[in-house]
Amino acid sequence: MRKNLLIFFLALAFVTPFSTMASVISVIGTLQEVRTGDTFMVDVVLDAEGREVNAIQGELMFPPNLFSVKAFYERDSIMGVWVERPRVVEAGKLFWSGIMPGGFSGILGPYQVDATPGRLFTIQFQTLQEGEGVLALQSGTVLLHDGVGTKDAVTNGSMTVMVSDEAPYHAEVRISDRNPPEAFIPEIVRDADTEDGKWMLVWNAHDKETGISYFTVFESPRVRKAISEDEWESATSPYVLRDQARRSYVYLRAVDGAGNERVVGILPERGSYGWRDALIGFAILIVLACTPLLWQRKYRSRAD
Amino acid sequence: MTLSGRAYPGRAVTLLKDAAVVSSAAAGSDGSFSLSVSGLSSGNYIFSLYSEDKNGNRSSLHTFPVSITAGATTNVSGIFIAPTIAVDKEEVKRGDTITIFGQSAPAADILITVGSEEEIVVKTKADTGGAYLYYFDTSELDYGSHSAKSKATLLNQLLSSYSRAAGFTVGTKNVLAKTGEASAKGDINADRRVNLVDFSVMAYWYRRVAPPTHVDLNTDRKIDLIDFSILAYYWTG
Repeated sequence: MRKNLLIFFLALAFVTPFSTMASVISVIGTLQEVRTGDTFMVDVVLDAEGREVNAIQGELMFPPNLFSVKAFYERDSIMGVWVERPRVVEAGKLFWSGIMPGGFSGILGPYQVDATPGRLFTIQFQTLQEGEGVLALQSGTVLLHDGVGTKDAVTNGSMTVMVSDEAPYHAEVRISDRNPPEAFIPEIVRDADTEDGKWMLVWNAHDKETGISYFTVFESPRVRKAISEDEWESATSPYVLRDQARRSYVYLRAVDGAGNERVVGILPERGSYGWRDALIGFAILIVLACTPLLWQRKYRSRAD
Repeated sequence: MTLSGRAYPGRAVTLLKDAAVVSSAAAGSDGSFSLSVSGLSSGNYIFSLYSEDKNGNRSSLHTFPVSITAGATTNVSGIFIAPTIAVDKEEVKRGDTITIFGQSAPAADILITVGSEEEIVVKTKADTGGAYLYYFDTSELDYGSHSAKSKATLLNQLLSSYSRAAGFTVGTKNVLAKTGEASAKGDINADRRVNLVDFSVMAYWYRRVAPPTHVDLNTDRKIDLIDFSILAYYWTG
């Protein structure tokens, strides 16, 4: 009997898979039943299982006939710098990637003993019709903070959401955000091997509540106290400046998910175009305009 | 929020918040330092610290994501910046000594790990200025590439993480390590910093063909997440 038990437990040890150390990317939501036409939110979360990692990318698959993406919120994200902000790349698939400079192994806080997983971003889905939909993470890549980009083993999570007219009523979750994005400092730089060495505007910004929604840029030869909405141009970093002579004021606007905005202005490197430039330009035009007349007078006098 | 701990005596300690430099302060003669950040809204922040020794060698980033509650003061203490490390030779003749040196806090106990597949661990102690030095006999090492890294303990209470690795080769001749201001890996624009500017240049070449070799950090002829990961490792802000 004892021998049989020993054989049984030994066999169990070989059959039962050993727990594998791997980063876990999860999709987590509080609602699993939602009414048609309502919205719900899910978080995409990274648990590095105590190892130091510094880069992550992945895909989230969802049934496009049941759900549509209403909004992304980068609130409280552990992502230091986005390589590609979360976006829908094709029907039913969204993609993201980014890095955590200095590494990430878990979040420390005064109210817990161990480090906790970190949120990458939040997705607000709109339900379209009844049915059972699976939100499934796939192609997750997590790289170790080892200076060579070693791939960590990854476990991709999933969750199921049932859309039904019989589901309980839930109030739409709204993220309160009355603060502008955090202060940031853009820079104007250039690199000989990038865009033929043109001057570019580069920046990185964060918003701890709803996250950054988009950026816009405006260049002006004069300082501006107000910029109309149609003057702003949508932009991503790096942004190649139109005024390569760097005589314009450059304004960069960060807008968060609640519409709060922060505008940062950069002075021109050289003197901006002013009345002296206009005078010089006018003088040059006069000279150019008069030159043909002077030639004509000269030839007429010779002919005479 | 207040961060405090030990670093290199008299040297500046730099604080990054979400990958950007926000503050800097000099450590005292005993290596102790304290930095404060105010005006933080509630949320998760990634804080990183590093210091630089008198030879211009930077420590690895000491990073910790922290959850901040508005209106509450958060203190993080007991931070111990990892040592810097360097070697005096690029290549060392097998059987000769290679000098391993660096900087830590005064009187710290230094543990040096040398090797590649098999590791050899040796101990030394930093002097009153925090500098340490060890003459390592390479007769026990195989021919080929090796690296050395170090960590420090202080008063049996503080323990640092490992330093960056200093690489060298065991061969048939001695070649002194190059001195001077060589650009660090990831320092794409050669300004002795690895930060958003380098990231932006790399981001420009992301998914484009034929990236410049100084941008392609792992020399696989493309810019992908691995290059960004290497950049993130050498980040200085």
